[in-house]
Amino acid sequence: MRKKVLLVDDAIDHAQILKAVLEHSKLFEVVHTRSGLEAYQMLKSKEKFAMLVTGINLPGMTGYELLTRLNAEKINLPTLVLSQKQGQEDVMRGLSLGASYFVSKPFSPTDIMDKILKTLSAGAKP
Amino acid sequence: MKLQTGWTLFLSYLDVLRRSTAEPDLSSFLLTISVVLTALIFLMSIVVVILLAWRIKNKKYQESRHQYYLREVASALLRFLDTDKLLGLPKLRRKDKKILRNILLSLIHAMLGKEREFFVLLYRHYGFVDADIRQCTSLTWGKRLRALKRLDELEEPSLESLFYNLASDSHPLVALSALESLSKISQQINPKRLMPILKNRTKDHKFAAIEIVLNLVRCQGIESLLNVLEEEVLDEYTLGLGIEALGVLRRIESLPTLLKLAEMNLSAENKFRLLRAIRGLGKLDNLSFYSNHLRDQNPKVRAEALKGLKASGNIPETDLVYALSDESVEVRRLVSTISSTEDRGTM
Repeated sequence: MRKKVLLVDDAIDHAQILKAVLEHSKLFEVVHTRSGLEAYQMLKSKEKFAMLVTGINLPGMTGYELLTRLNAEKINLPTLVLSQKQGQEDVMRGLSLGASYFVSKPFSPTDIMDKILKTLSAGAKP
Repeated sequence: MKLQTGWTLFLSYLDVLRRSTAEPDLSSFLLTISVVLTALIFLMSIVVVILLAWRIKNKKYQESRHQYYLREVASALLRFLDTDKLLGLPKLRRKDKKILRNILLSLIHAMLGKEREFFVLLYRHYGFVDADIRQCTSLTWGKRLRALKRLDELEEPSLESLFYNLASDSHPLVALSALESLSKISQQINPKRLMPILKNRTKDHKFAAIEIVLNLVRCQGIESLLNVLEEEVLDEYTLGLGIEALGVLRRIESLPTLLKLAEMNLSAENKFRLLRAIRGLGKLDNLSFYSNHLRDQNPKVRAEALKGLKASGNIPETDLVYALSDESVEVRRLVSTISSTEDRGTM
């Protein structure tokens, strides 16, 4: 059975390619949204996701805000943060909010798939 | 409404003309002006409406084609990941070239690994690289710059000679961008070839040029820069650039080279940069190096030597006394500042 991944990124081109690669592996079903707020609502609904892949600068709600809210509501979900920044501060912030990986752009979709697989096989959170 | 007003005006104008005598009066003249203006406004509003409609239609078309090509590129990528070959590439309509080119550039910029390799192949396959190379010879500098920026995204070592040529471009922005691209693309870039190009730049571009030298050092290690500074006969500007870069890097292995350069007949500005770079490396055992520079002709150099002495520990009394009688107010002020901080320290 395919695992459901929620991909939140406002860079549509990159998200589309990532989605195509992930779905091509036949291991994942990817639901893509551009807005952080929409992602939050989806995660709060009954829909079950195995993993969250989120960008930082999102319309409506930033990736960090999304993670903070999820933590506050005790919604535990393995998370991979996808960012254009690669400062140590950003990485630390992402990881402290419970992200399993922090990937800065440029990225390789196949690498990201490996990371998702690793995270999912290791359990909820490393 | 506008049409009706224009038409009414026009009819009344004809009426006035019919009834008027041979000599037109002021009212008929004003009427003519208002009719002409109304007609112009009417025509302009039609043009604006047509342009807006065309723009909306074009935007919708571009969005739909963007989505279409993105899907096509994604499926071509998946086939490439499976077979390692360029299979089933999207067919390109002539007017859609720009759309696909932008998609590919954005993906090349954001991706790494095999996926990026595929997008670069696709960019080359559709002849965008050749088109960009042709545009690099354009008479308009903006076109040259845009083409260069696109080629820069590819980071292809095969473009090295093109970048070298553009590094001597008549427009400074193009030249600097080419230098930046050069510093990015490969490990094999020869600093000996690069440094003379840098000397042609104006002082305004010094910081950009230093950034380029630093990029080069990041790629090839500091030794490449040290070798050039020690072995090549460089002009003052280029030498200053190298010294400034070493000052920013603050790497202890650059000390012997900096001391060797100090023995050369440098300009006052470069002597100052050199002393500042050495001070940035920390304590210097050989205090006489700074003491000698306290006797330099340039007050900026003398002040920097004094700072160097301070950074290396306590300033020898003889040097302090000598500096106290310096003809430059700046140097004397510096001595008093240093002495007062030392006094506070001892208290």
